[in-house]
Amino acid sequence: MVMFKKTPEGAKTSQSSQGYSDKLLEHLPKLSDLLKREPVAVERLVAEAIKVKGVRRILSELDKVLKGLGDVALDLLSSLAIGRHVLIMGPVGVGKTTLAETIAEILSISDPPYIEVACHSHMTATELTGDIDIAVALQAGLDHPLAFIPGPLVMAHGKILILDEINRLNPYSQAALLQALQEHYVYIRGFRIRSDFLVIATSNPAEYSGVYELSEALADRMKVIEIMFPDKEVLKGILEWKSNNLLEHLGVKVPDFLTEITTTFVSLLVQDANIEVGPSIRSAIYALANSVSRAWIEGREPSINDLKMELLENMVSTVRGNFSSEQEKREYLLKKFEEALIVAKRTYKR
Amino acid sequence: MNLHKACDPLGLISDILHYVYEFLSNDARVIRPGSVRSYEAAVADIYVRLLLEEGIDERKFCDIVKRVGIENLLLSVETQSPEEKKVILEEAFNYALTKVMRKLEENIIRRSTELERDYDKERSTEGGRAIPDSTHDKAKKGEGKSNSLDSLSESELDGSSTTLDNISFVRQRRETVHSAGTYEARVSGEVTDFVSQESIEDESFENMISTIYDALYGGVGTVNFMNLAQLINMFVRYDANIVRKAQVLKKLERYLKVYGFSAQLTFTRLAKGERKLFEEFRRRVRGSSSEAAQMKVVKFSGSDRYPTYIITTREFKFGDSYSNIDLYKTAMNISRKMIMGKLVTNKDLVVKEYANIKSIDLVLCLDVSGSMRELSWGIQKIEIAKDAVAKYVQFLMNTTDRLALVLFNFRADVLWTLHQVRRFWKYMLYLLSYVYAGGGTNLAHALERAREILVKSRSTAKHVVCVTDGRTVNAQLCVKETIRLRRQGATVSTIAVGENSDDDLLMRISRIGGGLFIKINNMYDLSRALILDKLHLL
Ligand SMILES: Nc1ncnc2c1ncn2[C@@H]1O[C@H](COP(=O)(O)OP(=O)(O)OP(=O)(O)O)[C@@H](O)[C@H]1O
Ligand SMILES: [Mg+2]
Repeated sequence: MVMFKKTPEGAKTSQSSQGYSDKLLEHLPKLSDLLKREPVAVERLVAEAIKVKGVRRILSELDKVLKGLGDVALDLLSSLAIGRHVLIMGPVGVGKTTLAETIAEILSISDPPYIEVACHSHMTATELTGDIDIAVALQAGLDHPLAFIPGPLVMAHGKILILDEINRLNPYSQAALLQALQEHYVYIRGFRIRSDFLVIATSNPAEYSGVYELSEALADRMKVIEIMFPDKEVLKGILEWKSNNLLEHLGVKVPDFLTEITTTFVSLLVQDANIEVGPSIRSAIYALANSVSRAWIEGREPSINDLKMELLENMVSTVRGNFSSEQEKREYLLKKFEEALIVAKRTYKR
Repeated sequence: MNLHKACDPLGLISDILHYVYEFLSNDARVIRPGSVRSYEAAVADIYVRLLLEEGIDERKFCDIVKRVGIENLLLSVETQSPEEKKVILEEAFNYALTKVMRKLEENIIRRSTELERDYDKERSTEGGRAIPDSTHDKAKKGEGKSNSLDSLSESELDGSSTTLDNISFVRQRRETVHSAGTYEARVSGEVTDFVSQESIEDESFENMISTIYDALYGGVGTVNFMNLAQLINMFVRYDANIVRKAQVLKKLERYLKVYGFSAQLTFTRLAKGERKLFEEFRRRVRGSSSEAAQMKVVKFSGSDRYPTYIITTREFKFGDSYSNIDLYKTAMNISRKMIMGKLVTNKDLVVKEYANIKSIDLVLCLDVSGSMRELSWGIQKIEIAKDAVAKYVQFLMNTTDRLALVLFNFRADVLWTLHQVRRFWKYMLYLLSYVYAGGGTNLAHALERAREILVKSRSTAKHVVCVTDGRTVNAQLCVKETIRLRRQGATVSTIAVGENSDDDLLMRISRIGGGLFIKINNMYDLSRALILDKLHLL
């Protein structure tokens, strides 16, 4: 226990690097500090941030990143301001994660503005809470900054905790989360660490495969905000804006007609009864940008055929529906593309 | 149930969720109607969500209540088939919303009929014989508890809540609303108030209510909200003598107090630190900017058309006093002559002719819509406006002018018709002191009322002043009414207060009306604007 404190002489040889890492260590919390934590009314911090920023400014800042989500954002803000945790639900790629991150960043109630966890099914409870490294603790004492590696539930004190894809969280880690939420304390090998935080979770709807049900008690502590797939006009705006962003450094632009076809194609698929999981906005953006960049590499103008190829390649793996084989799916998508082409041409003439 | 409670949003929201719960627990498709926690959260969440919104009308209110309510209950409510859950919740909210909205309307109607009945009763006892009929009995029974209005709706509410014993929070919320507001000092005991605990200060609760209240009812054309003039005119003719009106108000006084409205004219309610802070919060949240005192005046009339005491100008005659020379016009004439190299004669000296007008008939149309309940530096705008009108009345005391006051929210009513200020100012100040605000904005109706008043006026100088801080319904009709007023020989000025006013329309009205358009950013400048309009100074 005493060994580390007396610093062995040999350490002096690496003075500079030692000094640097010492400084880094200073930033890590010590267990004794963590145990002295005071409660924080996070919802007050949020309310204060809303007051200071003003609703209008928050919305205009959000608009620089995401389009058409103003109402949803206000729903999110109002529940954070009363200390209610939120679950953002919606199909793949409609901006759930981005919304959570952007709002947390705009509010900036702490530094860093939020702690994010990408949930996965093999996550253990200690990965959320953190644990004591016995080896370090024995050598350097429990209070050495490296003796306790705090997990996100501890780090999130006074902050917003983003739990991305919470539906992938297995029941064990759900229990750890629930305990932190209802008791405001995280337990680590007998130590009790205060932790107040607000959760913004994201999730795909339950009908998607590979998800766990949220436990009843956990679900009861959350409100659900649903993000719908944007309507055609908003979608076109998003596609145009984001794909051109991607192509900016190449000095080319997406021809408007290609955007129109893509928008029509995606809208058709989203409404299609045969399709359970439609294409995401993200895949549409990339398909559109890829078709243009590909033509750019080959030094020619992008064609409708380029777009067709890219759409198929980008979407065939994510789209799911009533198809007996991959081949059938492809053919169906191709058929839909032709349909979209006709519709787009017709609207374009007007 | 007093007026504040009937219309206060927290009570409304609790009521709505109360009915949602009722619906869900009686529906066979529902296994679990949801946890108390989720209902509590829903009430607070909806409330704050409404606060974040900029201006709300009834439809938006319903949308938000429904959406945010469902968001909060979705994971807590369990139905036999999960696919149906959302549909069932929507049904529940639709049911609750119609029920509550209808009740709100019924309350207003009931309140007015009861007042009428009570007034009749008093009149009949005045007459010497009280008729012992059933209505009379009922009123008496009511008085046994506290007063008839209060107990009636209260007992009705109890009735509905006994069916839902589980859901006690709704009653708790009512209690906290009671205790937090200053209207009724009822001890709420150990009831914990989650709203004040978690986000809202106790002290600002009253302000909170008034803020969200005007968020709800400040919009255009919302729920029927009787203004003071409408209330009084239910008992007397609208053009009754002001003394008679004051008598009616005297009788209504105690009911108004029950509603939480008491006389206020002077700035007794000084802006406390918290009020200021709260106002600051509100301003920031709403994102509105400058509060610098500014006044912009646009003049649409020549002095000849405007009813100051000067009506015409004519050429100088020997014997005219030099102080009556219209310097502006004279200077114009002289410079014209000089340019043409002609001689200046007596004819070029223009003299203002003072008309035989002994007095001007003034009609003041005052906006008492919900937006006037907003606070300005901690004081409701309506109170500041009342103060300004009081100053105006005091100013007019030195003239022989006659003044009428029209109050308008979703409809307009005459608080008092044309009376000489010099003689009746005391009654005017008394009536004024009870003016309160709430409801939508209907300027056209106010102009129509002004015209009705002025039809009977035989004065050669008639002038209408409209004070408003918002956007009116039926802008087209406003213009038509102004044209009619103009044909009748009246002039119309408008005073726009704050950023939300419909300046284009008001400017048009002033142009057609041949009066002034005065824009002030702050209600505190209203008295200055009124007097400026009267003097027609620039
Ligand atoms: N409304 C929108 N406005 C602008 N861009 C959007 C919008 N919706 C989605 N996007 C784009 O789609 C991308 C994907 O968003 P994001 O990763 O937040 O989605 P997600 O819902 O979290 O998806 P997943 O379900 O895969 O986690 C964003 O980076 C953004 O570029
Ligand atoms: Mg995501």
